[in-house]
Amino acid sequence: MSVQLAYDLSKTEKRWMENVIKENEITRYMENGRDFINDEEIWEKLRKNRKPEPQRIRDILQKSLAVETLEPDETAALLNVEDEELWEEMFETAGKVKKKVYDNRIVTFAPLYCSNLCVNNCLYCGFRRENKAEKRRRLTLEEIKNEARVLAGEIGHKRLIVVYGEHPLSDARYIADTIRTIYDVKVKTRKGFGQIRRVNVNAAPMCIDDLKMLKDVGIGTYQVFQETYHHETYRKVHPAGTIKSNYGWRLYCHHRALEAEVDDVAIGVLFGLYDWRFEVMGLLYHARDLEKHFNGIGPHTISFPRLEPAANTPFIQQTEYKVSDEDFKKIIAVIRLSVPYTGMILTAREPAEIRREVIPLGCTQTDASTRIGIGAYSDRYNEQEAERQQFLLGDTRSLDEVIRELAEMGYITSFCTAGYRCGRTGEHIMKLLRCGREGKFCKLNAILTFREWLDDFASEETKKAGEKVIEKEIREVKEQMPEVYPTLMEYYTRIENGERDLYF
Amino acid sequence: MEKETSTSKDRLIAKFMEITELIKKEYNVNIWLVEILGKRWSYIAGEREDSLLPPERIQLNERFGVVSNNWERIPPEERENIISSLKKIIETYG
Repeated sequence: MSVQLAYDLSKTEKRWMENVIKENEITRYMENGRDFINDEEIWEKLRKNRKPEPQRIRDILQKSLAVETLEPDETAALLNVEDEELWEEMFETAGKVKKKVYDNRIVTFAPLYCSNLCVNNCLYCGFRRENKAEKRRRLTLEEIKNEARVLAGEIGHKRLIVVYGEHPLSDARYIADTIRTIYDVKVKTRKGFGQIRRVNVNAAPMCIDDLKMLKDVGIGTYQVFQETYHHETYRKVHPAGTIKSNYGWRLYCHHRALEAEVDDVAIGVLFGLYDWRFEVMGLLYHARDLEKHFNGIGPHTISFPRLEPAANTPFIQQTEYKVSDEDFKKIIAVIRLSVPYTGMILTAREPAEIRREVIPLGCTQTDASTRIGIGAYSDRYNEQEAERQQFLLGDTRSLDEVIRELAEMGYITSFCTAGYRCGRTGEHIMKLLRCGREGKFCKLNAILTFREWLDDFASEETKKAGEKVIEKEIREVKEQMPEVYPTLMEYYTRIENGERDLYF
Repeated sequence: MEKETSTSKDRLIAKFMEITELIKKEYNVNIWLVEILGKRWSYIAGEREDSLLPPERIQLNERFGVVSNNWERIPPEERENIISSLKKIIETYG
């Protein structure tokens, strides 16, 4: 279905917009009428913790290694480090924390853009309503099925993040229908079958009833980025009169999701809108507020995209807060150290050389074979088309190429989706992450799912590189977890013989 | 309405935890209760896993299930009794 959205909102759109925000689903989480981001307090913490002593920083690193969420003063101290050698220690520790919590695996996924219709008008976004250069489209369920068939049956993805603009035609009902449609797709492969096993959702903030609808169809993680935590900047880049201009509605959408019992939620910032140190502090405050209200459940993942060029979007060239590559590394390391249990998503917005450099700093997930145009996978276009994308990608390499490179770097690619299919969600997975046990499941399931993928989809060259990594990982299981080694090998052989979806 | 649902779920969890504690005491086995939502088996209550063996899922009805890594430590007949008791709890409070 193709739609050219007019500059002015239709009556239907206006009426729909009036009913989206439920004030009592914002204020119920506030304390004394204020949200948990106090801009002045954040700046005060950043000022107060200038020039931290190296020993204090090393003590904080020990706390991160113990997988404890940092205090705001501690994160502020890390952000204020100036000594380059101390930063190197922090980078190294960030990598160690990731290894302790998630072992040696990198999970891969693909984004699937379902609709770019949007009633908002965010200055930095190619999908903004006033951008007439953008070609508008909402995929039908048949088109969604075609996309999923390519992703699961030809590329070999098992995990998607489905993305929607905010619009009455892509409301919670449509999102629920698309999730069901994707889960139903099953495609024969070389030795087994391909299927999307986890559908994560990136969509606008919703009310609790709508979130319950997504819960009922088996949503994976509900992901919403605050974009910027700085109130004044938020106001400037999200014009008044739009739904997105309501800071509190967005800030508390993860609280609402957890209240609706969608117990895996994901947060993020669009770096480049405001000062990066402030934004990292905002992420920490967000994680801590979720932990406080929901029995220790913090963000399942944190994302840290940088602003990228988009069609007819001059704001991006004008921002004074663009993040350099050097600062980008610092952002990743400090997030990893501050919220040690969380998954961290590095996307194909970043070019290959940056991805290579920052993966060792604590990233746990990345996308590949990425296409972000609406209908791009089944349309099979490989060139980027700015007018049907939200922004331009930095890395368009295939999953096969990315996996080969990760294997050559010593990482095992994982397609594991076991956790949320056996109750390792919410409070349960948080405990497993904090005590280091989840990393052991990660290791075992990475071996099994990587074997599946190599047999079903890999090129000969990638298979060779991947098998070296698998051999090393199996040796480590034999040494470190002898009690499960026989079961692992039994499952491994069954997978080699064509069985699928066996997991720990 | 919201309060009634919450109370019913609280009772379900309380009853489930009573059984969980008995199983833990008698067989040293951890089990956890989940809500089944399509592919998602979402954690509700119970002990976290203490073993690395593969989780075995048992569906109690359309909406609820239980998971453990160590069902084999419980004799088959006793396991059947436990599952029956859990099904009754779900019928009453679920």
